Amino acid sequence: MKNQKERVFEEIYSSHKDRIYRLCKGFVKDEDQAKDLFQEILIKIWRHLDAFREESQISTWIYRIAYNTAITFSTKEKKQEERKSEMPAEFQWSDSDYPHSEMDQQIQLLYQAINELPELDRIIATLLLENSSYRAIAEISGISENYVAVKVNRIKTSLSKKLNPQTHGN
Amino acid sequence: METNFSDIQQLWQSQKAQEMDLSTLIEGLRKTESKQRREQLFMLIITPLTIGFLFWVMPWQESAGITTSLFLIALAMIGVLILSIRSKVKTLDISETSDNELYLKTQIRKLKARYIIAGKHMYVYTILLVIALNISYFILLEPLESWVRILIHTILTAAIFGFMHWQIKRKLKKYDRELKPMIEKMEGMLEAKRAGERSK
Repeated sequence: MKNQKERVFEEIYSSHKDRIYRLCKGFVKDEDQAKDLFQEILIKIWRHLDAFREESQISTWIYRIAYNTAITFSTKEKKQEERKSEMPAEFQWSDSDYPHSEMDQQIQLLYQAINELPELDRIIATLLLENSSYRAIAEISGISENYVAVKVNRIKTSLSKKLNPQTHGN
Repeated sequence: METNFSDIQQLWQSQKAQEMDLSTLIEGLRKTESKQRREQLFMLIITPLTIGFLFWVMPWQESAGITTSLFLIALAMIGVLILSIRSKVKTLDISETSDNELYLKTQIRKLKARYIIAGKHMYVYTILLVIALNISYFILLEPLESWVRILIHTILTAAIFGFMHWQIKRKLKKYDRELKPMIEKMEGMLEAKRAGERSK
């Protein structure tokens, strides 16, 4: 028999899993690492669930946990990545990692573009791609709405440039 | 063809998570929670029990030295218990649900605190341990000749200090490799935020 906490957790999972997954892919390149991060975020949501007091929206609360976890995770994983990059390039890709269709290539390009952004810009970019409001972005990232607005323009230009290298002469 | 930002949004939102076995995850989390509760309970029970046991078996009424050494051991154990509760048992970090700026500040403070625990508190613990053991040995070795007693005290003190110093240095080197880059990275993120807010 499921209790209240389990029911709420399952609801959160089904309503937010795709967004959390995309966030993970924006923070770590490797698919397995993205899965580990995804699971770590779910664990933290579970642990904090009893303390959620509805002072903020549930999605803002979830995003705060998700981004804070992703920041620490990517900081820790940097070292492993550095070790991995010391390996010859041909050993770094498994066959399933290669993008096949044009859409796959575009999405890989997008992940790469987001991955190359500084952490704060990465938070803003992924929230922006989820249609989050400036206010929500400010509440999650801890910066002012005005500064979010300044950042948004730069990020939009940067992403469009990276996804349209021919048009922007890159 | 040029991809505009709404195309990028569509592309981004088209990505879906793979389904995962949620009931297994929840079951695992429940087990971890009860294990943590058992560990907390164990630590809270075992410390007073050990202290009580020591006072029960040692002839502390017979000598002020033994009483002092027992109090020092008890003090060190309580100190370790408090540090453990702070760092290990208290797993729920409320800053994880805060905005990113507050989270970063809290994490930096916590990571720096781990340095202080390893670099300073562990030396205080070592000093207490050495004093307590030397007091006990001073009483226990009374029948022996003075030079033998001095030799044992010197070896004991040097061995404990040497071992603890080596352990602390190892720990600090590990922290330099693992925690220092994290602290620097997080401080860099905070600084970038502040600089951005100032220059806008």
